[in-house]
Amino acid sequence: MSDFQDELRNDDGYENVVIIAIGQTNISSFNSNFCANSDLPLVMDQYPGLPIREQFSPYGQHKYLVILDYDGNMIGNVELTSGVSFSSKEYIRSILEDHYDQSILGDVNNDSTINIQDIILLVNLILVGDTQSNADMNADGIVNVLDIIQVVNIILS
Amino acid sequence: MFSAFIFSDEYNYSLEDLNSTSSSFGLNVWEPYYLDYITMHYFGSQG
Repeated sequence: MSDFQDELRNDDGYENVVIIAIGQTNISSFNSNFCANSDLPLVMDQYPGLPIREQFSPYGQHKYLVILDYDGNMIGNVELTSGVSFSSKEYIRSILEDHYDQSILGDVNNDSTINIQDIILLVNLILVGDTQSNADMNADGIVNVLDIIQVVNIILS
Repeated sequence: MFSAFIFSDEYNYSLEDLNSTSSSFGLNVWEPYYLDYITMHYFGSQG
């Protein structure tokens, strides 16, 4: 599963995708089978009510994978009975193709081009104290002159 | 708007990432750390 996440990010370009494992047992037992072979985030559902599984019901079952969009809405689900099979990967990729936001970092006006118009909008964002995900070039959570410098460098390159 | 609330299928949770090899180890996920992500949630168990 960790390898598949790497594929999605590095090979398919879906950088802002994450697979989170939700366990339901003693953490030390889970760690020995999971963390040694994976860098995926791991959280533990809480006994006895297993509230996360309850929340995702009926899809919060063993070996189910639920896909959520940026707003937390379900956009797909699949049962991975034999690991991440080829058909499962194709299904997941089809979901991402329909829902993944391919906006370009630095393309503030979302016209698929990075130019002076994006810099003007960047300056406006800074002046009003606003943020925009594809304007935060260095991913530090704020939009400031450091982001402008990076956009300028992209234009000049 | 009332109907949208009843039939909304928004999910959310915020729990500590317990995998020491994960980039978000020790932080709460999926919210807020992965708020700008498409997230995939895999339900596993022991073994």
